[in-house]
Amino acid sequence: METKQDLLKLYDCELSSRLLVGTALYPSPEIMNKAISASASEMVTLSLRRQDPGNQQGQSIWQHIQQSNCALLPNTAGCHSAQEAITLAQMSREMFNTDFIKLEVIGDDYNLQPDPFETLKAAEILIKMGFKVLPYCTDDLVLCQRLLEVGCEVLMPWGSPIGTGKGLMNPYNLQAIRTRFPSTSLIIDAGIGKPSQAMAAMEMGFDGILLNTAIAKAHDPIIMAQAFSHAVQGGRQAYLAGLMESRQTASPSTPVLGTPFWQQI
Amino acid sequence: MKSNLKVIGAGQKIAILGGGLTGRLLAWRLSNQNIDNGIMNNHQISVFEKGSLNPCPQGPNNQSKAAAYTAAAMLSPMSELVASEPEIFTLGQQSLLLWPSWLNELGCEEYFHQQGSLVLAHPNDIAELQQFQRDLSYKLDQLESDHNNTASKRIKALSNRQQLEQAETHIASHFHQGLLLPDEAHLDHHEILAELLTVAKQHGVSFIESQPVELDDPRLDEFDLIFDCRGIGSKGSDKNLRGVRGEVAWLESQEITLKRPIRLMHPRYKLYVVPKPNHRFIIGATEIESEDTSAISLRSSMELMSALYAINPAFSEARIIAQESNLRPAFIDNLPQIKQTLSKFGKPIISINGLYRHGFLIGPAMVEQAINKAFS
Repeated sequence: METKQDLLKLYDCELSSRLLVGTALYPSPEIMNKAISASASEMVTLSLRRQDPGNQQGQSIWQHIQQSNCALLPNTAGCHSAQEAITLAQMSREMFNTDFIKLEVIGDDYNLQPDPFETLKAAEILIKMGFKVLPYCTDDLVLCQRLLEVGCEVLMPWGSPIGTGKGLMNPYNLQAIRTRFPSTSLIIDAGIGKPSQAMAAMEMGFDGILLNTAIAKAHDPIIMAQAFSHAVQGGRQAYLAGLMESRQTASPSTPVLGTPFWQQI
Repeated sequence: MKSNLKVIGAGQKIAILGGGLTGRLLAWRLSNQNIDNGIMNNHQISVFEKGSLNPCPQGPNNQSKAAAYTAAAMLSPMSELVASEPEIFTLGQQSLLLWPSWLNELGCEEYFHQQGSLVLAHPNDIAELQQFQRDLSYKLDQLESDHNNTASKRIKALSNRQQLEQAETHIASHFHQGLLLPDEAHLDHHEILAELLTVAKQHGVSFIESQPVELDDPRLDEFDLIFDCRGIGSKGSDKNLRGVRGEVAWLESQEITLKRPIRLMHPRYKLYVVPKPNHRFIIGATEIESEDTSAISLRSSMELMSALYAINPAFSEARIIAQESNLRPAFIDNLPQIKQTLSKFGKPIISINGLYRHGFLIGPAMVEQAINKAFS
């Protein structure tokens, strides 16, 4: 029987890997490249804001990132307003010849919580400008709804704040988003600290995981990248295979012959 | 006794390209009449520096100066081990032993301070401190068989306010925990750079400033041996080099005394403050993957200043002396390299580069290796 390939769809781009990784915080560009390769990711994010992109001063590191042969997802990390994010998105489109942009507009400097109002404003304008916007957002159902209404085809709700490693802080909200938007590609972005958390998100039916710190800051980023790759694949397979519902009482998986009926009452 | 001196490669004409820390250490070591167990030399040494040999700290940012001037000169092999390869630790440990002995030879051992370093985090960010301790202990234990020193001996946990105050008096009251790394040290680096220049000149080294020299420069034909220590200045001849932007600020405060460097752990930036002579402090360092050499950004400046203010609010009345940015030369693995090639005139070139943010930390060990390579 021919099985249909299970691909992650991001606008018109289809990826066989459901793990996207960031390119910051690694001990060296060499380790970064090896970790990206070990993660089997096909799309990586890169940040421009502090690198004087107007004068292309980040060329050296961008060339190392491009050596990974992954599709690039430039981000607007470090922007605090819609206007800043739009300007940076235009620059990144020109530099990397891609319409993809991970929209990140920070509302709180301490926990890097996204600003829902500025994110929505920027998303609407960028979509009209022809960008393929992947907005980093909170797990607020109404915000997600509004982002879809302005034309986003992919959403990236947080698991928990960036760099915390706390995993899925609000599974109820995340499940609500998943259930309400069954055909939208949803990627959990930020807060994933352990492979088991990535796996849990994938088991819930999320379409992909984007993370950086948990791999880059591991004692061995290359092995950790492999671990996340396995976890994301495992979680996806489990979701597709169909998880059993949990039950209140134990149920033996093999019949227990000879057990009197009264013990089961 | 001069008659017993071994003469290796004596009387060579040596060109050193780059008058930063590596170039100066090399010039001084090669010109020192009694180096390396009595090896005698009579080298004619010329150092070519692209920028100024005495850059003004408050000078304009576009003034070309060695990365060494924009360093903080911490000798912190353990702190660096958390985010670096073991090779940096090993070279750092070697250099930590070489610095006091070399400064003694230079006659300025007072520029070396081994008071350890202190790692702090705000109570809200205590997980950062725990992560640092965990990572450092793990990496030290991995190296234990080589270095015969357990992590517990090399990391002293300061677990309450009293212990913290005993170690460092002028720390804001909201800090309650820290880690003391007693083996680490720091240098008065501007004074050392000046001293190296003075003493090497006394030994007959000629320093030529504002003279950028490329490896195919016809002037190099007359030299027997060339050391290339130009840092990011070598990028034209080594495409594998990249510059990593770093930014620092100099402040002056009469109110506060720190005995040792302090590293402040924060979820997003790791910042340090290092005490310098004359009530000065240097704070740094941002680490930006960019070859932008323009002046420090407002954001970086705010990050650095707020870190200092957090360490002690009395820093609010400190005076800002200078804010600087520069490029640290790095290879793809962020590890240093010593390479030997031939110039177009058939002369050996030893290039020392990629010291990244570890110039003072590993400089002496690298210079020793380079000299051994040149004369072996």
